[in-house]
Amino acid sequence: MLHGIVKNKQSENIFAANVYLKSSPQKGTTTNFNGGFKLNIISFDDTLVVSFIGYETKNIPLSSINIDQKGINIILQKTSFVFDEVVITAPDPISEQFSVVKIKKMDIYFNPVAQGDPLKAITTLPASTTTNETASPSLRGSSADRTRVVFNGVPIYSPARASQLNNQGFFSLFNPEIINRQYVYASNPPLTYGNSTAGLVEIETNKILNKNQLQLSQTLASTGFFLSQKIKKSSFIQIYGNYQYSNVYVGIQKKHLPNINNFQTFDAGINLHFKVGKRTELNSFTYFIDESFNGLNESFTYKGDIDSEKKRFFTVNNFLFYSKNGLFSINTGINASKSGFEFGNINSENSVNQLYAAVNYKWFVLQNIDIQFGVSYDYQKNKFNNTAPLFYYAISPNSPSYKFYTTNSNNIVELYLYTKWDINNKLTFSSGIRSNIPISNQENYISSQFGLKYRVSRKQSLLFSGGKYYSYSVPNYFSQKQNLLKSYQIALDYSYEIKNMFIKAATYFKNEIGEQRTNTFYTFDNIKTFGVELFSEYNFFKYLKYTFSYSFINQSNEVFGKKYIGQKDFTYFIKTTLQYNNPKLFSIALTYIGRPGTFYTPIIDSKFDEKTGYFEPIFSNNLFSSQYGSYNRFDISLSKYIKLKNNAIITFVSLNNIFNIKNESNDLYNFDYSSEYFNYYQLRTIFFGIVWQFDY
Amino acid sequence: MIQVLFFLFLFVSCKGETLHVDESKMISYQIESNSSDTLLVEIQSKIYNAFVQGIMLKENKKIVQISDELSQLYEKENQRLIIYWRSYLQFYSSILYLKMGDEDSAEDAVDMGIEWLEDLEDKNSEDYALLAMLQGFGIQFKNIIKVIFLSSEIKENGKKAISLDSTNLRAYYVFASNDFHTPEKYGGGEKAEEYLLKAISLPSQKIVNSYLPSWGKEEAFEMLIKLYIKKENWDLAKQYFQEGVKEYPESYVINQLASKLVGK
Repeated sequence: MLHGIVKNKQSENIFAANVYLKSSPQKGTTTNFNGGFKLNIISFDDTLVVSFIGYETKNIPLSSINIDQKGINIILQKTSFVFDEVVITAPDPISEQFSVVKIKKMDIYFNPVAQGDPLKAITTLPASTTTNETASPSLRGSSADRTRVVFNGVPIYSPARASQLNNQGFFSLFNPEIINRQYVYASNPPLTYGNSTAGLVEIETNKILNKNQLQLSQTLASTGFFLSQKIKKSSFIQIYGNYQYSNVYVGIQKKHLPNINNFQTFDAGINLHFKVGKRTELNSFTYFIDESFNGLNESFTYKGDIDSEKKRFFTVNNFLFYSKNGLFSINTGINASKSGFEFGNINSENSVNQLYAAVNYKWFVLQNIDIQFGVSYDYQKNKFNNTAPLFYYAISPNSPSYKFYTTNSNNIVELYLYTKWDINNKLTFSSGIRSNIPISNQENYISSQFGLKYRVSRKQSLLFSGGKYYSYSVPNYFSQKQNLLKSYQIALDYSYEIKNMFIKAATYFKNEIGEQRTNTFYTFDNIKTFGVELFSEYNFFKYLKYTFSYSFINQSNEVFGKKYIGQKDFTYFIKTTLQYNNPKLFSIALTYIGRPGTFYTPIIDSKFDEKTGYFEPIFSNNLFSSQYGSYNRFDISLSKYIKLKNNAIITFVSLNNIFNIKNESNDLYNFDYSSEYFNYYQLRTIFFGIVWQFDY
Repeated sequence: MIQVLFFLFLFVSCKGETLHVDESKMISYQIESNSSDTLLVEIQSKIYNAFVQGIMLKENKKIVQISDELSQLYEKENQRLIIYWRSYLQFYSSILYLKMGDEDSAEDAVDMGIEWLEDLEDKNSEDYALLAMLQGFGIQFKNIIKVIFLSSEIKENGKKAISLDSTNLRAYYVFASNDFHTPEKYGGGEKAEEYLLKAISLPSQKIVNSYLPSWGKEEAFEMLIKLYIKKENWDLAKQYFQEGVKEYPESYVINQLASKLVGK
């Protein structure tokens, strides 16, 4: 009689395991609650087989067992994840548990504020503090310049469409159809990526294509197509193109689009995904956009036409190899753009060339410990060929100007190590360290972070994280330099899910150090932000969903060494939506966004300058002492989905800023600055369209 | 509707018949008696029989009794397999509540089973398959927006079940079932046939073990025949009806489809 105990590697007894002899499985047995078994042995010329769900089957020749011993211990090993032909499950990033929100493709479509834009989908989160209606994410009071958008492992700088002086850039560069999921790190960007001192948005493209589909779309301002085609079982291609134009859109509502004369955009993208064998994946995404805009702009006392254009190309390519104990990846990116704008006596031309490459290895060291390490190279070259006003307030075409040509480049080489340790089923600890290898006169820096996630229960968790981060500013018209920036962050995030309700709360503090220039006059430094966030989502009556988001932000900053109130100091920042989604009828969504106005420095007086023939403004010494009027915006959107066999038609209409509220965006003055008036964010506009889908 | 909301077909499906194994292909297996685990011997049948009794008597006394016994046993032994069976029981408990017109309790019951399974660490193929099945059933109680997200979660859990054990017929069955009940406009109906054919080619259990699940094959036959009837592919419908009846001669769910095949 052979007896023994079956356990796993953690010394836990395995109940109900099969124990039998290879030659006569019908005479087998099963283990009891203690993992114990007894089995009659007739011949020693046989093999003992022990098996259980989720474990590797163990074969032990009886000849190798000392039958006289008190009992044998059999240790079963858990089955490792097998990549077979059926499954391609994209592994989550190592830092996934430390992201605040994971956004799937459908979240984008069902988010009324997003209007189908992946980065705009972040807007409804309390952590989003974007105030200028653009798609560039600003998280927890930081400037968009400090927040990074990473696309398939490659940073995409300036992710919104042409952002110029006139608040364009309403949409991002990304099409939701190519996106699988997005991770939002509102604070403490994971150090698997560099060059961020605020937050990070990580975008991943599709790994699987469910069906072949052709989409044609026609809206008030665009015509487009999107084709998704399977190539082989696990490989596919997605191609799309859109042409945007303003004639009808602006023509029917010119009164509410006073600053737009016309615009034209053509963009096209191609996404290729290949699975080679069982362990290798390749992905290639290439995108091109050509934009032009003509409108009206005002700055100081000059009002006139503004012309801007931008051509941009980027490609992101990934190689992934899955080994038994890890994932090896190479991510590369190339970005090139050329842009220019003319306004009064300003003429700016900017060309950007970027190259990015990263080699990473994610090593599943133990069942509960993962380590990821790698190296990245980020090269950026900026050329500015500018004509700028000699006197900043004299911008008319005839006012004196000067020319300057600036070129700068930056090579960022960084090494990193990121560790995630599941201490037990409730507690996970992570740490990251990232250091540059200084090139030329670069300062040596080391970013570091920690994260602790405590799962009170499956539906309730706490995340405590902190760290020190470094990044470089992105050059712009006002500052062509790439300044080294730093931040210290600490954050506590809480989430709780109950039956039909989802609640999130957070508090954080950060100190952002480093000179950042976003206008002609000031260089911000030492921005200190303390914030509290609340978010709740409630699903009720089968088809209704309500979300409410509240943020409190206390912010201060330093200008020329003196402390002032921060631009994003808000006692409240509310975003709320009410949605009715009935696939048999229609979907309708109401949205409200409200907050106090941002702070600015008023012009209090002026003096006439005979040289320029213009009045020179005199700013208040008390910086940021004025505040724009409170911002309130109500939107409504309606859509209907009609399915006809392999065809589907989606119609939609949205009315933005229903009550035509004049939300102040920047201050303007008459010729001698004696009278102040304002520019406004988007007034009431209507937008509608139709999409035809054909599955084949 | 994204998903066919009522999985009531499961009312007579996924039944916990006495352990059924493909006798011709599989080895039979003698279980040696163990001490304190008698409740778990043939537990699948015990749960199903309690469910049938509940339907007939329109009460859930018996199923609650088994639930309590499993709960006590879990407190004593702390075995993860007991969690599996407790969750499996919740599925039938939910159907019972639904039949008794108590939709709230039905939702709570299936949610409880889902929660237990989701809480399990290092889920194996059987855990994922049952989780996907419970989620598929529970979807009928959910808000439409949640349904859309749950649908992809169910699909993902089905895939995980297959990836962890490519010979687990329940994994294929659940995956196929989700695909079968997902309207084409939401990407459904593409994989059901392939996965059901795979499911019926596999044994209910690789080694007969009365503690472990054996459901799914009979249901896979039933769904495959229904699929061919839906497609009006009468030859294949009849072929798999005959195969199904041969393997499960007393199956109500398969035999009831005969009327739809007469004269075709």
